Order: sequence, then structure tokens, then C-alpha cells
Amino acid sequence: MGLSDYKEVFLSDANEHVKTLNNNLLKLEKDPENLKLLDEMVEPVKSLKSMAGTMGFDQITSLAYQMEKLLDAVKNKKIVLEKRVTNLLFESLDVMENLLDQIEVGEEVDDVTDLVEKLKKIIAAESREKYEKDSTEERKSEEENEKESIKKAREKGKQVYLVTVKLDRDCLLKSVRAYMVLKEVKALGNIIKSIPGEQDLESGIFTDSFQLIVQTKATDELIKNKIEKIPEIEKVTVESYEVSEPKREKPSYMEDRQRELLEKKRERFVRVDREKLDYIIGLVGELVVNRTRVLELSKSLGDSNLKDALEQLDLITSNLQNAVMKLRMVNIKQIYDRFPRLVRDLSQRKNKKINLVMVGEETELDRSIVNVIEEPLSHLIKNAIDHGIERAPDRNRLNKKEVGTIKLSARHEGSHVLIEIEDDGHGIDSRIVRTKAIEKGLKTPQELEKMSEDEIIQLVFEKNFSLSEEDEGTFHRGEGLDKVKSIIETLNGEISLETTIKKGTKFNIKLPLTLAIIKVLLAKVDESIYAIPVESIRENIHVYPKDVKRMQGQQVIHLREEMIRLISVRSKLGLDKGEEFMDKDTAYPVIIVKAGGKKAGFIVDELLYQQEIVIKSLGKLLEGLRGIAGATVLANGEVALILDVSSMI
Amino acid sequence: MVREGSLTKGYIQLVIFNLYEEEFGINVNHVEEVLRLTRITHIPHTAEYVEGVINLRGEVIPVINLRKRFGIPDDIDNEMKKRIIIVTIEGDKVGLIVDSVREVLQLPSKVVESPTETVAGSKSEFLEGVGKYDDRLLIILKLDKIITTEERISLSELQEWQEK
Repeated sequence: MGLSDYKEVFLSDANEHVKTLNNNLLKLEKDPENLKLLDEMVEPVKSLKSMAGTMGFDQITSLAYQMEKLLDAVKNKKIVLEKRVTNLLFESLDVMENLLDQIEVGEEVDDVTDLVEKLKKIIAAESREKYEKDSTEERKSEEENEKESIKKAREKGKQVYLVTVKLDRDCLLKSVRAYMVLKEVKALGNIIKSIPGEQDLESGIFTDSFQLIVQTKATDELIKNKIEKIPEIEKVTVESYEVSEPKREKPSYMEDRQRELLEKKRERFVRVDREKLDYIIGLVGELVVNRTRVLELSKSLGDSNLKDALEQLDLITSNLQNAVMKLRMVNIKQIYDRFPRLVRDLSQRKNKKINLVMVGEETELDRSIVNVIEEPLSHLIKNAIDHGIERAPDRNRLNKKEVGTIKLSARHEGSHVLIEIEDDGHGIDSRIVRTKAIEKGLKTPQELEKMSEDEIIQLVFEKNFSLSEEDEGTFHRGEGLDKVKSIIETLNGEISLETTIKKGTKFNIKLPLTLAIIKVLLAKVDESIYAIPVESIRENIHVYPKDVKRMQGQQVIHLREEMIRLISVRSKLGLDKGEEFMDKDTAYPVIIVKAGGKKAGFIVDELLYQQEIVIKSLGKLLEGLRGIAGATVLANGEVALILDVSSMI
Repeated sequence: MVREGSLTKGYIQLVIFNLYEEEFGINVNHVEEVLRLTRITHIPHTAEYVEGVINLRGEVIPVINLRKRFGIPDDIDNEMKKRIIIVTIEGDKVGLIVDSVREVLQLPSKVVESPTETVAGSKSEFLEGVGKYDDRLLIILKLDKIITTEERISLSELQEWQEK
């Protein structure tokens, strides 16, 4: 394992720690008396410090070291956790994150001396305690503490033992066994030290053995017996423990342990290059498509043995597809984690009181979707803070709870993920939307006359539509809801909003679980094959020219009490300007589609069949084409374009 | 050791192709492979010179007709000789339809005149330079600009430049 591999593991662990710290600090800010939260923060900071130390990232080490001291001082009540302290800690975390990013891309890291000095100052000023300067001295003092407590224990007639436990090599539930050992030992006495730390033991991050330093009145025999009763324990030794004189010529224990942990983690998780993974996923996609083709072909042969074999193949392929798709799935938590900070910072700046509630953070969706969805989500949240939630006095006047709520929730529904962003602010006034729409020339008053309230509200997604009265150039007001909508639509998703004036606004986002494979209906238009996502198809019908009416220059049909606009795919794609429905006595195939709340009928030349396809991008050169969402390669090698239904109707 | 396709110091390697009686060169480093004409799927709402997309071993790749790109009438009689040169521009593969592909040529860099030395014509951004080789004049194209912008380029402008 080369140094760069360690670096990767280090970065992912360190980023995880920073995230945890950010979250805990946010909680702590709201609940400063909660000592448990503080305790939970010390561990990751220490871990950052020692990991960075091992890797030789000095800036991080010294920053983490000062943060640790500051946290200690808070814990020991030497420093009050007031705003400037939390702000400094937040700043430190931001800087830390920045350093990690720099390490990741291989840039030279920033010098953090200024920040370190700031931290030192606050620690020195607030606590009269003098701290040693470097971490070796600190380690020494840690050892002294250890010695101290052992001495005290002996004075009280307690014994101090070193308990070494070795688990069976093929033990499946290491963490559980370790937990049981800890529980037994704790029943008998105190654990002064655990190697590795208790948290790691309980998460199963250790090789097959671990050591505990225990002070107890119980005999070594008793401890040994108790532990041996636990299943899957290979060997237990209990010996009297003496503090050895520090002989630290070799790499320190901490360094060894870090390396061991890194190795350990690597065994549980295999890191794979994203490209390799995508390649496999692509291949499986092709396999799925070709399976369908083979199944089709076999039908005409009528060979029952072949049919059996193919059914088996079909099943295996489906399982393989599902398994591979899971590799792409990640928790939405990844992006959720960013939002508490966003809400905190922005609401402070805007002088608003806001509580962020997040539901369904375990919801999984395709990694490529997760990567893209963060930006539109944070935009909507910023919008809710900026324009949705009122300031506290206004809320009081309106008889609302003083603290506004933004609720972010995610859940699965069928083959979709639904994400909702809801605020209890003042909602959107359709009268203002109406005025703006006229002002911006989006709609004429006559057109607006015919639209329902709901349809008018959805106009906020139109290009360049901005509801904010004042122009706050300093803040992220660059892109509006039109941008959000277009991002969601490139993901084959939909967005809509519900709003009640004075009550609040809710954005509903519907996303596909995965982007790589979709089911489409293939249809022929002008000798080319086009694919229409089954997702947006309601039904297929045949229309006789005599049933087509003209209304306001458009062709429409009546379908079960509903008026449906007909769209010629041929002319929409600019293939041919020839009039459709030349032959009065032929029935023409029409696909009824629905997207973004609108329905329409696509006139095509011929319906072919349904198929699962692998979506391929058309590349940068052809990006953003009107009406085309991508392409796919059919089993016969021909390229079929995928129609972008929502932009066509 | 010199890697295949890379430059020997002081030399530049070009894939030479024909287009309307002119000889063009593109740097071999950009070229992935050369194909015969294959089935092209037309793409609506694109510039006229974008012929469509092809399936290259499962990958979907856009194809540009260089004749149309330079405003030369298309020659549909000699389809058999036509080739698609697959090039990589900024990480993306793109196919270029040319009349025929002649050879790969190694040219001393010093015989290539770069546009800045001669004329600062408006279209010089599409050119790497002109190579003089024996009696031949090779127009060496700068592909990224030609492919990524939609600005009109005409052959006569390129020729005009070449004559100076």
C-alpha cells in the first residue's frame, strides 16, 4: 500500500470527521450545556490530529491540536462557549476543510499560523492555564495522567491489570464481541485505557486482538473467567500492569495504530476508481439490453430448452443489474450534511430565526444524481431563507411561531425519489406573479385570464423570472428558479410548487432512482428510430384524421372528455414540414405523453416496441439540444435519439 | 525512445487528408482512428455541418462534415473514398468526414509557418499554420476552434491565407 493510498483513506476519514464536527458544533451551539456533545467532538479532533501527524500534514496537526485544547478548555469550564468561540471553531473547520481539499488536489496547503495564533490567544486569555507547546510533551502529560491514576488505584487497594483479548480469527461479530468484553470488564472495575479506543472497538475497527488497562478489586482469575465465557474468544491473558518508562525511539504507538486502522478500513471497503465502476455499470447495461433482444428472438424459435435456459439467464442478469445499480447508490445524507451550516450562517446574516428539519437522510439515490442535486437544493433553501421565512417581529404579528421552519424531506416512491422543501414563510402571492409575468412580457393579460391560479404560480420557473423586489447583488442571486428547474429536468426529474399565502411554500421534486438505464418505447419517425421514456407515456392510441379538430391554430383531439393537443414529432424536430394526416382513411399512431403537468399527443409514423436502454450522452459538442435528451445504441448497432418530452410539449 | 505518434524533437507528425483538391493536415496526437463511412443518425436542430452521430463500439460520437463546415458543396459521388477521422478534442471524441485520407507525414517544424508570422487574418485562429513540403502546401488545422465554435469559415478564406 503506497503513501498515496494512505492519503486517500486519510482524506476520506478526515472529511468525515470534519462533517461530524460541523454537525456536533451546530447542535452544541443550540445546546451549550450538553457535555456529551463536547465529548463526542474531542474524539474526532484527536483523531484528525494524530492522523495528520502520521501523514506529516503539519498545518492540520497544529490546527487540530489547538482546537482540541480549546474544546478541552470549554469542557473544563475554563472557557464559556459564547458566540465568538463557536464562530472561531466554525472558522477552523472551514479552514480545515479547505486544507483537506488542497491536499486532495495536491496543491500547496495554506499557512494557518494566523488562525492557530487566534485559537492560542483565546485559550490563553480565557484560561490561565499554561499549555505545553508541542504534541510530544502533551503525550507525555497524558502518560503522566495515566501513571497518576494507576498510582491512586493501587493506593485504594485496587489492582491494575493489562488484559489482552484475542478473538477467533473468523469471528464474524467483532464489534459485538468487543462490546461484550467491555461490558464484562466494566462490571468488574474501571477501564483506564483501551487500545484501540473504545469507540473503535465497538465499531469493529481493530485486528483480532485488543488490550485494556483495567483497575479493579477483582482478581485476575475472575476477569479471565468472565471474558472466556464470551463466545468466539480465542485467548485471554490478564497480567499485572506496570507503566513502562517511555521508550519512544520507534514510531509511536499512535502512529502504529493509525496505520493499523487504515489497513483495517481498507479491508472492509475496497476503493475503486470511479471510471472502472462506471465501465462495469455500462457493460451491465449493455448486457441487459441484449438480454431483452435475445429473449425476443427466442420467442419465435419456440424451443422449450432454450426458453428455460434463457429464463435463468434473464433472472441472473436482473440480479446482476440490481447489484450493480446498488454500487451507484449513495445516501442523500451526503448533501444533507451541508445544509445545517448553510441555514445557520445565512439566517444569522439575515437576522432570521430558522429551524431546519431534515427527514429521510437514509434515502438512497444514484451517485450521479446526488452530485448534481446539491446545487438546486441549496438554492431552494437559500430562497426559503431569503424570501420565504419572515423576520421574528413579522412572524409575531402574524401569530406565527417566532422560529420559522424549513423542512427538507426525501423518500422513495416506486422507482422515484421525492424530495420536498417546505417553509412556513409568507408564501408566494399569485397577484405579484401575474404582475411580474406581464411586466417581463412572459404572458399577456388575456393569456393569464385563461390560466388557473396553480398554473400562474408555476410561472416562477420561467426563464429570468425573479420575485425579489430588491436586488441584492452581494448575495447568490445569480440564477433563479429557471436554473433549478433546468437542472432537475436534465436529470429526467420534475419540479413543481405549492404555496399558500401567509402559510408557506413547498417545492416538490421528483427524481428517477437512476440515470443509467431507462425503459423506453421505440417509435419510427422519418425512417429514424426515436426513444420515448415510458416514464412520461400515459397511453398509445390511434387517431383517424377525421377526429382531429383545429383550435387556435393547433390540432387537438378529444380523449375521454379531455382536449389533447397533438404534436407532430416530425415537424417539431424540424425533419419535414409536410402536413400530417395526408391519408384520410388511415389511423395514425399517437403517443399520449405527460410531463411537467402538461399532456400532449405525439404523432409518429410507427410504434415499435418497449425496451430498456442505456442512456449515452451526446458529448459536449451537442449538449443542450432542444427536444433531445440523449442517445442510445440499439441491439442492431443503430443509434436512436431519446426524446426530451418535457421540452417538446 | 520515441513513443508512437508523439513528436520527435523538431518534427511534427500529421495525418494528411484531402478536401476539395486541397491538402490538409491535423496533428496525429489528436487522431484516434480512421473509419470508412458508416450509418449516421441525423440529429435535429444542429448546425448544417453536423452530419449526425455514429455508433463507435457502443459509444455515441458526433460527426462533422468538413466540406460543409468550410462551405464547400458536398460531393455525393465519391462516398466510397470518404473517411471519418475520429479525433479527440478536450477529451471528447468527434468524427470528421473528409474526402480521403492520404498518409501520415513527418514534417520538420521549421517548415511550418505559423499564422502570426505572416498574416493576422481573422480566420487565423482556425489554423496551426501552413507546411511547405516539396511542392505541396499543407493547411494545418487547429481543430478545437473549428469544432467548438459555430463561426462560419470558408475554404476560400483559408486558401487566401495559404497563398500569402
